Order: sequence, then C-alpha cells, then structure tokens
Amino acid sequence: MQAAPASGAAAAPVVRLAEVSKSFPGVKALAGVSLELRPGEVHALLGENGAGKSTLIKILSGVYAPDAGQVEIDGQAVALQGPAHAQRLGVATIHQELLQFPDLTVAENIFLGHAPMRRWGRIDWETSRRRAAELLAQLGASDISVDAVVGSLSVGNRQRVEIAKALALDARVLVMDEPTAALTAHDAERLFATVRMLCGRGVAIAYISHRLSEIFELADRWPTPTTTSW
Amino acid sequence: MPDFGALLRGRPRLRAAVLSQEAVLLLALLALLLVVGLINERYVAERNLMSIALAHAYIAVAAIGMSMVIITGNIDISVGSLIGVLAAVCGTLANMGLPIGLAWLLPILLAIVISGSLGVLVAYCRIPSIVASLGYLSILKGGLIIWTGGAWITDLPENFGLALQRWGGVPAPIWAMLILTALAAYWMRNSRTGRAFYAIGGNAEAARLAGIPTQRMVVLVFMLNGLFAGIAGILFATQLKVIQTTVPPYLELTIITAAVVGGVSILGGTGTVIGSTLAAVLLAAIGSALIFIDVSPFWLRATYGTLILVTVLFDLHRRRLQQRAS
Ligand SMILES: Nc1ncnc2c1ncn2[C@@H]1O[C@H](COP(=O)(O)OP(=O)(O)OP(=O)(O)O)[C@@H](O)[C@H]1O
Ligand SMILES: [Mg+2]
Repeated sequence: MQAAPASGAAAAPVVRLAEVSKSFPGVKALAGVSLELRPGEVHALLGENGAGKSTLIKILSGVYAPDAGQVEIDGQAVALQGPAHAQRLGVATIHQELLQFPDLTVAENIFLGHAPMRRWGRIDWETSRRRAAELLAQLGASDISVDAVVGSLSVGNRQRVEIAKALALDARVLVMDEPTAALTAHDAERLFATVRMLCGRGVAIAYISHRLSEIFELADRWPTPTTTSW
Repeated sequence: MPDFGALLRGRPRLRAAVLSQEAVLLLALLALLLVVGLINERYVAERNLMSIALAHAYIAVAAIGMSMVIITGNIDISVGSLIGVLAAVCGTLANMGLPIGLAWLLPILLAIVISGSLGVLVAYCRIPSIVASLGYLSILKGGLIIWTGGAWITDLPENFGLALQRWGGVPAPIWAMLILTALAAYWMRNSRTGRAFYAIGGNAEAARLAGIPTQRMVVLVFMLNGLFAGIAGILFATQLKVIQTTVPPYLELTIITAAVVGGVSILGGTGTVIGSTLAAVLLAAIGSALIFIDVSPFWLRATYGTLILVTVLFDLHRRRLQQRAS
C-alpha cells in the first residue's frame, strides 16, 4: 500500500458527500450518509446487499440527484447535471454492471462520447487507436487489441478496458462498484495492482466490495459508524 | 461450413472484411448474376441491370433511414404508409401550381415533421417504437384513403417527373441511391452522432452514462428516417405520369427486409447502410431473376422471408462464435 498522506495534515478531500439521502418508491436506499475521498487513498465501502452502496456511487457519478444532502467536489458544492458533468469534474465510475458496447471496438469503447476529432466533425480514429493502446499499455494490458470488439473479450479484459476508459478521462476520482465480482483470482490480483498504481498517482479511489479480505488488502479507510450509517 | 472460429481468432481487420455482411451480399449478388446470366443472358444485359437498380433505388434510399432507426434499437413500420401519403401530397401540390421545386421539397419537410413526432412519442413518452409506428401506419393509411377516396392523381405538370430524369445516362433515382448511401455510410462511420446511434442500440444505459443525450438522439434518428423516407417518397411519386393514392402493398416490409438482410441487427447496435443498399439491389435482382428463369413471382415473398431467416441465423451464429472466442 502506498504511504499514508503526509502525516498530520491529510490531503484535503477531492470529494465530500454530506448527509446524503435518497429514496425510491417504497425504499429508503440511503439515509444521511457522508463520505470523503482523498487523493491517493482507497476508501472502502462495505455493506450488505441492498444497503445502498450502488445508489451512493450513482449519486457521486451524477446518475441520480440526492433527495437531501450535498455533493462537494474540491470543496465546492455542486449539483451534478448528469454523468457527463461528473466526468468533466474528474469523477470516473466503473459501475457494477459493466456498461459497455459489445459490438464496438476497444478503442471506441474507451473514447465513446469524448473521441478526439478532426476537421469537419470527423472522429480521429488514428489518434483514438494510438491513445487507447497507450492507456492499455499503462495498465500492463498491451495484449488487448484496440481493434477487437469488446464483446469478444474475457470479463477481466473488459474490466481493463473500463479502467482504461477512466484513465482516458484523466479522472482524479475513480469509483469501482464490486469490480472483482466476476473476476478470477488471477484477474483480481491484476486489478489490485492497478488500483495501487492509480493510488500512487494520487487518484482518489472509492472501492465497493462484499469481500472483507479485499478491503483489508487495499483500503486506507473504511467506514466507521461515524462516517456512514452502515 | 468454413471454419469461422479460426478466422475469428485471426487478425480483426481481416476477420471483419471476410465476415462482413457487405462482402457476403456482394458475393451473393455476383453469384446470382452469374448463374441466372448463364441461363438467360438477357438477364445481365445493361438494360436489365439498370432496371434492377432502378426498381429498388427508392427502397434503398428509404432503407438508409430505416437502418439508422434499427441501429438505435428501434423500428418504424409506418414508413410505407408515409411514402404513400407523401406521394399524394407531392402530386397535389404540383397540381396546385406550386413551383415544382417546392412541390418536391415540402413533402420531404412534412416527412421530417411526421417522423420526428413519432420519435418524440418513442423517446419521451416511452411508447415502444413498434407500437407507436403501428399507430402511425393505421392513421396514415386510413387518412390517405379518406382524403383522396382512392382516386389517382393525374394531369401532372410536364416537369413533374424528377425520377424520370437521367444524368449522364443514369436515371436520377440511381444517382440518389449511390450518393446518399455513400454520404450516409461515411457519416455513420465517422461522426459523433452516427456513433451515438450505434452506442444507443448497443447499450442504451451505457450510452446515457457516457453522456449521450439518448432521448434527443432518438428523435433525431426518426427525423433522419423522415428525411430519407421523404426523398424516397418523391422518387416514388415522380416515376410515373400518375400517382396511385393507395399505399403500395408490403412497402414497409420490403424496406425493413433490405435493412435486415443488409446486416443491420434487429437487436440494434450493428450494421451499415452500404449493406442495406446492397440488399435492396439484391432483392430487386431476385425479383427479376424469378421472371427470367420463369418461376412464378409468388415465390418472391417466400424468398425474401427465407433470406431474412438465413441472415438472422447467420448473425446469431456469429455472435455465439464471438462469445465462445472470449
Ligand atoms: N432505480 C431504482 N429504483 C427503485 N429501487 C431501487 C433502485 N435502485 C436501487 N433500488 C433499491 O434501493 C436499495 C439499495 O440498492 P443498491 O443497489 O444501492 O444496493 P447495493 O448496496 O449496491 O446492493 P448490492 O450489494 O446488491 O449491489 C435496494 O433496496 C434496491 O432495491
Ligand atoms: Mg450494488
């Protein structure tokens, strides 16, 4: 694990959720939950099935607006207008269900929605492919062809593509919702290495899991009764 | 059966080229021309080849818009009725003495509005497109009969026949088919909006999370469908000196068949308009071949149906291979 932030003066949080609540018809998914994410730290989120973990990260990634409470990024309260807005503010999310385009190539999946452009509104495929290859190389995943369609990849490789997607956004905050759920032990190890690498670069990471062993392996902080209601 | 599995493990670009629906269609078309041409060489005479392409040029144009709609995971079964209505509107406007350019243009704008409103029902009122367009089909088809009483529109102005014009010896509808297919294919391949259509059809939720305004995109794709249906309607209306104000039977089914046989997955997310245009021409070539080899034209629909099933089975097989390769 990387060193804890400079002793005493912990780095200021990039993200702060304060007393966030969210209800769905008939279900109170979140009741006054708070959370702080700091650069270079892995923050674990634990909770039983249905505890509201995914709901919390969907609020953070702009998918849902909270019913009550506040989202702060860099100390500023923000009302996220949607997923694209959260991405622009540097929050990348790997959702529990891998949300990919199985018929499109790896390069296109990585840059979908923010592809490099040429004149006349044309997508710059060459640059997309080159940068996608660079991102995958950073993850030690050069074995994945940028031209392969994502539907033909193994689950572990699909997840690497998702992480490359987050890197492409230059995310300062990376949220991972049960990323190891469908992975083999070997792929999970590779994922942990990647998480540590990103951490070392100063990315703030929120890591959701059921598996306590993972949490102990990765996390700098995990919720105590004072930080969450679980 | 060739070993597709081996191909799939090979280089992706090579794989794409070998297995692409476009390549398969082109080979099928050439094989058909060769075989039927050997039986009856008048089948491959320039005159007949031209009439094959001409017969389905407007189908191919409409299939461009239909392909885009299906790529987003939607469908429009009202397009045949829309084309019938547009033809009647076009003829009526021309007979009212409007400048001929306007008589051609206004129906296209009308089509964009009508299809766009269908898109609004699908995107914002969340009515499944097959149901919403079924409603439009009945309204348009019924409305046309109420309005015209089924009477033909005759005494059209001299200069009405846009589809009868030839440029460089090639009929205007064939030019329209070729140029619009090339432009649309390039745009679908290289524009953000075109790629957004594929993304929405591939995984609508993921597209939304990637920041694509999916509802606006669905309205837009239906408007584009209206644009191409409008152009197809004008080509259809201006090909004869009279306009029959009944909707041509099976028109929407032929258009959808062209898209599906062209490799546009009915599940959304894949396919190209080059494929749909090739398929539209192939369907016309099959119709013509049945005549030349003296088979009852009643076989035509059954042949189309078989082609659809073969294409879909092939598509499913390909997807399964893809899964297994992972
Ligand atoms: N879109 C929604 N509409 C209605 N109810 C929802 C919705 N999303 C979540 N819920 C409900 O809110 C509660 C919290 O769900 P959430 O997915 O956040 O839990 P979770 O902690 O991620 O669970 P898991 O460990 O199973 O992933 C559950 O009772 C769930 O049924
Ligand atoms: Mg969850």
